[in-house]
Amino acid sequence: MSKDSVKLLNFWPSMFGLRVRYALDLKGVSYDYQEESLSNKSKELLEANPIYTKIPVLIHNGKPICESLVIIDYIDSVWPGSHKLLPEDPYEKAVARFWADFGDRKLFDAGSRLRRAMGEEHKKAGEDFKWALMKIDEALGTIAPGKPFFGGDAMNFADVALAPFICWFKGYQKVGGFVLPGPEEWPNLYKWVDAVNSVDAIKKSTPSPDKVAEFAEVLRKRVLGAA
Amino acid sequence: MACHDQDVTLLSFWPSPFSMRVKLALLLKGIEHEDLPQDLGNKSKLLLESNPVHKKVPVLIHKGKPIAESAIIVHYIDEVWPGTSPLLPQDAFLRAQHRFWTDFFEKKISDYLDRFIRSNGAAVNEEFIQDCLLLEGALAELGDEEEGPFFGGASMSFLDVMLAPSAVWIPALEQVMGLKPASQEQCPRLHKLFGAVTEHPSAKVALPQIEKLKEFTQARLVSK
Repeated sequence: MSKDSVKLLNFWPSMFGLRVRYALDLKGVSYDYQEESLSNKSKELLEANPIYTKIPVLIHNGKPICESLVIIDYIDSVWPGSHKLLPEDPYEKAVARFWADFGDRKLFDAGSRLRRAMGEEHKKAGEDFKWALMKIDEALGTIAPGKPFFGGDAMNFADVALAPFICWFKGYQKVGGFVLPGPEEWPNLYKWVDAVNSVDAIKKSTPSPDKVAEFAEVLRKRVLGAA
Repeated sequence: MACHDQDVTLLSFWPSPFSMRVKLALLLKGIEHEDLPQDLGNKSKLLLESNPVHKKVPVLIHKGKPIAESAIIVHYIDEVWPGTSPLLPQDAFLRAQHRFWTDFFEKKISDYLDRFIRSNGAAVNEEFIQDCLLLEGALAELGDEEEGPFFGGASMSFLDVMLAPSAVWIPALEQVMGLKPASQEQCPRLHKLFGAVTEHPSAKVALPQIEKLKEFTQARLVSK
């Protein structure tokens, strides 16, 4: 049986790239890793993702797949045997997809505005960011009460989609100029954070929150400098 | 063959392209359902309870359980009723392409149309035609002209369902607000696809008539 060729084009602080790393590592799929410089994109990246020229891109047996949630869906289909990410039950699957989508639609969107916006808009972005985390805390309590993950005892599609934000919490707080509420307010969220951080596959590729925070501040300085 | 399944309710809003997608998927698969049009200016208790996070339509309620977000709902419908009119391809890579282009459509084209409407037709986007051309390219690659006009060939597939509402919305915006979409010369396959959508028996029921959409758009312009 010929070995699959699996390659990930990534940029180390990217939350989206981290989703793909988590999915591959949870499933024990070995892959080649290529760090991209966003100011000097490789020919391979430009050819693999001509539409957006963005990372992450997964190249599987020469075929490129783009967009992180599309990629982890693909990974789950191709390597279903080990650590299934999407539940079998269609309703549970839909719930997992909903919260993964929520990560993009609400959490990432607010985080993005925290980096880019000024004044009132910046303040609103902070409020929206906290609201989104509050919703995730509530969801964890409803969907998997008493369990550490959206997936119950093990990480599922929603957990993998949302987990990369954890190493960005410090960065967002610095850039947002606020301190996130603690476990007294969001008990489920913090239990989830601890549980995620104790998974070996997650520890393998998560960048240091301090380094991410440094990077976030660099991005913010650029925005402020340009203003 | 109609699949009679109890307890399928759609919380809908007829002009919403997202609502249209779900309606179309239900009709393609012959799923009997109750359609409950929603008043978005005065949201019902049912809507607020079924989609407390986003408070939006469409919501599908199946056996008492709500599912929100149109792409997620259509995935769900395809999984629960796989036998009739399968929408997502079997092949994992092709499935990824359908999902990628759905996401592209939403990020680029749907987003532009939204801004165009909100700005009363002022939003200029030089990339709009370029984005339509990219979609045309996707259709050339993923479709099969010999089989039929759709991404799914002779029959509608997931990506066709996601794009179908544009078959009525784009002409409505063109005629009422002067939207300038890609021409038939620029995007012949897309034009053929949208033409086929408007002729499709399920789409004829799921999608509102262009004249009705025009009236709706006109009324909103006047009320601003």
